[in-house]
Amino acid sequence: MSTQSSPTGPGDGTPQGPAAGPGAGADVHSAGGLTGKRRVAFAAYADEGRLPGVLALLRSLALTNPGVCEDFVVLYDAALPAAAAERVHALHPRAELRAVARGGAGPYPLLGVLGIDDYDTVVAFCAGTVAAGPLGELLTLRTAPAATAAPGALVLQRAQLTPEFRQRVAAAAAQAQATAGPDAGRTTPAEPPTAGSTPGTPPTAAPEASRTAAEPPAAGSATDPGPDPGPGPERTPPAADAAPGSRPAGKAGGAHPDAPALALLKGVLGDALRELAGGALAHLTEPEAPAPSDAETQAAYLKAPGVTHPDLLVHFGTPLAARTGDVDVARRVAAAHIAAGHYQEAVDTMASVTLPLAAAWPHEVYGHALMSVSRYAEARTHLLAATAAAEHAAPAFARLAHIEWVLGDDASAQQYALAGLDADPTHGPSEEMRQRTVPTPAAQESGAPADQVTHVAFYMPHQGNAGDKLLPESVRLAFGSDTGPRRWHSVHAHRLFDEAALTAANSRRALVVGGGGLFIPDTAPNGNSAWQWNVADDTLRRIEVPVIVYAVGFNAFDGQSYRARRFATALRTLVEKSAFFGLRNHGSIEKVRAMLPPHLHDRVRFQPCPTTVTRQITGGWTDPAVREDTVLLNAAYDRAGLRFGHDYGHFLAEMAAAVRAIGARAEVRCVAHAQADERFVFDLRREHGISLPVVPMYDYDNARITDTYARTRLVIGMRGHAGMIPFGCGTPVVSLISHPKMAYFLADIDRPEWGVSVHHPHLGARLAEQALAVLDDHEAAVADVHDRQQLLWKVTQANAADLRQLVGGPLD
Amino acid sequence: MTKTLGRRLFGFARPARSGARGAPGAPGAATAADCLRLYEESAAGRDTADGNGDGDGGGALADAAAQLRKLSAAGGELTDALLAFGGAALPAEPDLALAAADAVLARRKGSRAGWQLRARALEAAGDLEGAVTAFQGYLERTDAGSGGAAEATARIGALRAAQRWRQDVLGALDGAAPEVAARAEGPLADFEAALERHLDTRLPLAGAEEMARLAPVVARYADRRRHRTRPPLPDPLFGGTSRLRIGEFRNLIAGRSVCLVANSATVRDGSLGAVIDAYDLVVRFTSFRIEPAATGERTDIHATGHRTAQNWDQKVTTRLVFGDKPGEWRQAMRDRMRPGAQRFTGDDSLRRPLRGVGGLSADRWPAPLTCGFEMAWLLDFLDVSPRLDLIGFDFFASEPFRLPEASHIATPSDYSREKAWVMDHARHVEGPVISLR
Repeated sequence: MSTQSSPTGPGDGTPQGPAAGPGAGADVHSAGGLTGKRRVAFAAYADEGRLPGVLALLRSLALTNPGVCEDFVVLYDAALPAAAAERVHALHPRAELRAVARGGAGPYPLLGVLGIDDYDTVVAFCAGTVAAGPLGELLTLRTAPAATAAPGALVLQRAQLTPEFRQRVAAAAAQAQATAGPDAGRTTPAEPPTAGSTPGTPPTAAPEASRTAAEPPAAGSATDPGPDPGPGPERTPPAADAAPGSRPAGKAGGAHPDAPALALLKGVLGDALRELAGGALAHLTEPEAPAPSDAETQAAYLKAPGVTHPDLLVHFGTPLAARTGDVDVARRVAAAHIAAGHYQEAVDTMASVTLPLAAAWPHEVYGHALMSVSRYAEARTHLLAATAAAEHAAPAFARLAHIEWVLGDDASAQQYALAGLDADPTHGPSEEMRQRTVPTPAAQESGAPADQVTHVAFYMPHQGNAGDKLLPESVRLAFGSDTGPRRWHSVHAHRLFDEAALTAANSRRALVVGGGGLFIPDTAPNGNSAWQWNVADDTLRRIEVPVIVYAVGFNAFDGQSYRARRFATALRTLVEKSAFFGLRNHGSIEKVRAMLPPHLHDRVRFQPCPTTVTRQITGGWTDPAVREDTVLLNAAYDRAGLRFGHDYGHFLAEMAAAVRAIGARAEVRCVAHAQADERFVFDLRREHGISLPVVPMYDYDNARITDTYARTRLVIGMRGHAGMIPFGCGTPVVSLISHPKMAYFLADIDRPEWGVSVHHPHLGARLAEQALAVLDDHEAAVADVHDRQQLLWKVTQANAADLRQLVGGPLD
Repeated sequence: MTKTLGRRLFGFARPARSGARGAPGAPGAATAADCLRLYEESAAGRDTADGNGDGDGGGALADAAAQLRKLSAAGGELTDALLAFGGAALPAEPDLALAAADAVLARRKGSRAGWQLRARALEAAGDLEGAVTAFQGYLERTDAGSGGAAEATARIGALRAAQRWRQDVLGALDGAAPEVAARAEGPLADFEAALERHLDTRLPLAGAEEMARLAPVVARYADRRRHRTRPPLPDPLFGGTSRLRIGEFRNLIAGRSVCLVANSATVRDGSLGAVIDAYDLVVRFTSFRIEPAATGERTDIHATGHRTAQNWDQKVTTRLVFGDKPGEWRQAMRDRMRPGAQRFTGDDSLRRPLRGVGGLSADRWPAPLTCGFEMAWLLDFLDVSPRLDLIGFDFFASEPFRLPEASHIATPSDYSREKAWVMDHARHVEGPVISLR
């Protein structure tokens, strides 16, 4: 989960990706540390006897919970054969084996999970447990430890693992051992089946269990896992044949090897230990013989109904596609790669199978992968093949339009977009491309190239992200008062920066790149630079005018693994080339420096996002005399899984509480930067009956955006610019942190307390507290904002002096 | 089928193409006896082709053949029987149809019906040039304003387009596929099959350069295939209809009073017309019917199911179309929507309010939903209306009042839950008006 950058050298520091190494969680610079996203791991103990059961568990988890792929820690007796690791890894892409002391874990092997302290929540499965249905509750328990009545699963929260707790457990274990004698807790591979027991009946000889581990779930036990649980339908007990050789009852007769450990923990934790219904679990009474082969598991996973997890899909689908050449499996694997930003892998997957002409959907996915690595000509042909099928034509045409737009051919793009709408008039992306490329007369007279500066930026199409809409203009204000075409030549960063673009740039005074979080690979994937500016290193090197990188941010997500190699070379070329290289916060500066050789570190400077000094740079600005009695709330939903993990329901409930509390003092409204942000309003209404008025900022022009933000009393925002812009307009802010960039910004202005993680256990109360404090002494809050802005303004002014020299004078 | 008939086909076509139209009376011209002989020869193929065993097509053709045989033996006038025989043979056995057409034209070279049958037979067989010539022959003998002339003109257009398409493909191939170029003349179906085989073979093997060269070929292939099931629209932008997401729809109606007018006799028998029109927004449903004094005249929003055929032509500001299955809904939005009949329509986010944004899946609300209820639920959910009134919603206590064409549409069998929801959320009820706000 943490993207720890290695200090070993340029290009080598490939971030770890989702599986955090031990101890990584403590790193305050890790994305996980900054956003507080709860890290969950599954765990099990395996010795030679228990291994078949652990493999059965892994298999069952994948097949009954195809959308779940948490980290999995296998604690093993150091005597386990090496081949065992291979068996485990065949069933999980990120399973980590950790040895316990040689000689065995002692009589209570389950307690080995107490040693896993680098996760917030550990779900430990007892011996012989398999998953028989959706895990639901097991994934969403955030704060309380819990266990099934009879051995099934145990949920431990890191907060409980204090030294004192460990001592008490150790003491209890010692005592239990002394009482029970040397044979206590000896592991047995599997329980022999006992005649006469039926599912659902209590085990006859279990000393402490009063109900089985797997009774039908009680009311409210199972909520849907995933980023947006909602009140899902009651889950009925899973089919009894979910895992062969298992039955839903707990065990019948005989002591379960983990029963003493469970009892011990219950003794120590007492009432603090919540009881789990455990309906999703079953006990494996006989190991399957022979166990399903990897090939069978792969095929079964690819057939499993329901949403699949991209990591599992890739893990099982890749060998399956390689072995069978199945075109549809390859398509799904490639799509998972694309969703994860692994475009080259997607290309390789599709290239490994033979696509019949009529396989429209696979052609479409292949085309998508190819265009993402800038192999446009080949992409085109595959996408065209997809247009033969009526159902796949519109998405393929929209991508074809996008290719033409990237290559600067708006007329062809328009034709493809119209073809997409012809195939499916309701197709949104085709309409978006049509609007983007519709021929428009030039709005204003362009200036002569010699008077102009080229500005490479992410120009928001109609109704894109409002925050990013303001950004290019704000950047230009740092250079002078004229932000129009007389002085500026706009180049969309996502369009291919080809020879023509190079020639045009070299005939102008300078080239400015920025602002925004441009260092991210998958907003506009291309094979040329691996970040948002679609420019090859060679072309970059041939720019002859000063290159100014202005207020750009490093924009990776918590959990988003960043393919560093290509980016590192492109980055280095950019830094070497730049006459000015300014990043928008010190967090970005550190991350970027870690990817550069030492002699380039000094080139990386601080240039705050100009939106944070809006009221300083905007000509004719006056602070409002009167403000509305409103508090604006913003939530963002792009990449929701990465933002919220399993905890969306919690977030929503806390926000509802905050809205009610704050609503007693001011009118709370939702400010939507993009239409997708409105999901917050709909979810709040549906789940909590709260109706929030909406400020549709996606429809506003820049003047209205800043005016709206200047006139409200407080903005509580998840999007970066929902914090930076109001701050820039002189309005107090609270940041809902789900992404490191806001934490970086707050660190730079020395106000970390203005940020609250969306995963905060008492998010609602905390937000209400902060909001009311601001409202109570609003003048002081505004004054503090003005004060904090001074540093950012000074830096901006100092840089501006240098920059105006670089471009040959102020651009007025 | 195509292969075998090709040989037979050209046996008859050649005399016609070499100049005179239909070559009536020329040596080798077709006769009724030839038709019957061909019919017998192809009997075996016909039996196996009639897979479903119900012998519908076979039945009609067999009857026509029997009739022809009888009349032929009796020495009667054969023209009508030949035409019937030829018509029954299409589209499955174009060679029989062609023989019949030629037999007609041999007797009466000016026969319009003969020319038409010949044209259709040649088209079915894939002889584009021949078909165009024959349709022209038909047109020469037909009133310009007639339906037949219109059809023939349209067919000529389509055939010429197909010819152009073939030429375009050959141009794009630029000599790269001789086995495809070999089918530059002759049945189009053969050409298409060869093209498909060529692309199917080359695409997996092609390197980057060949892929680039194949693009225009693939484009033309794909267009033709797609147009078979999805012919191009005259106006894909539907006269400037904008598609709104749910938030934009909400922005549009925020702060405006709304009434929903039921298609019920309660409304019909009242006189609330002026009251209804006085609302900012009037919402009507599916196959609504206007009687100004009772129903009012204006419709701002038409909410309908994607299967209902009525009122799509009525000009409104917003047309919301509900549908449970996305594929069917998209199809209806393409096929039923009229350009210029609405300024706005909803996108997928408005397709099924209760189950979509409302999250109430079928297992939690199993009863099928009426448009009226979905609309009421949606407006209540969006919660931006200062007044929100349901007018004439008597939950099917009175008979429906709607367009006569819609009389066959059943009213829902179970609306008890809808009724309960509405009454639960009603703030005020006065006569036929239920106020949700």
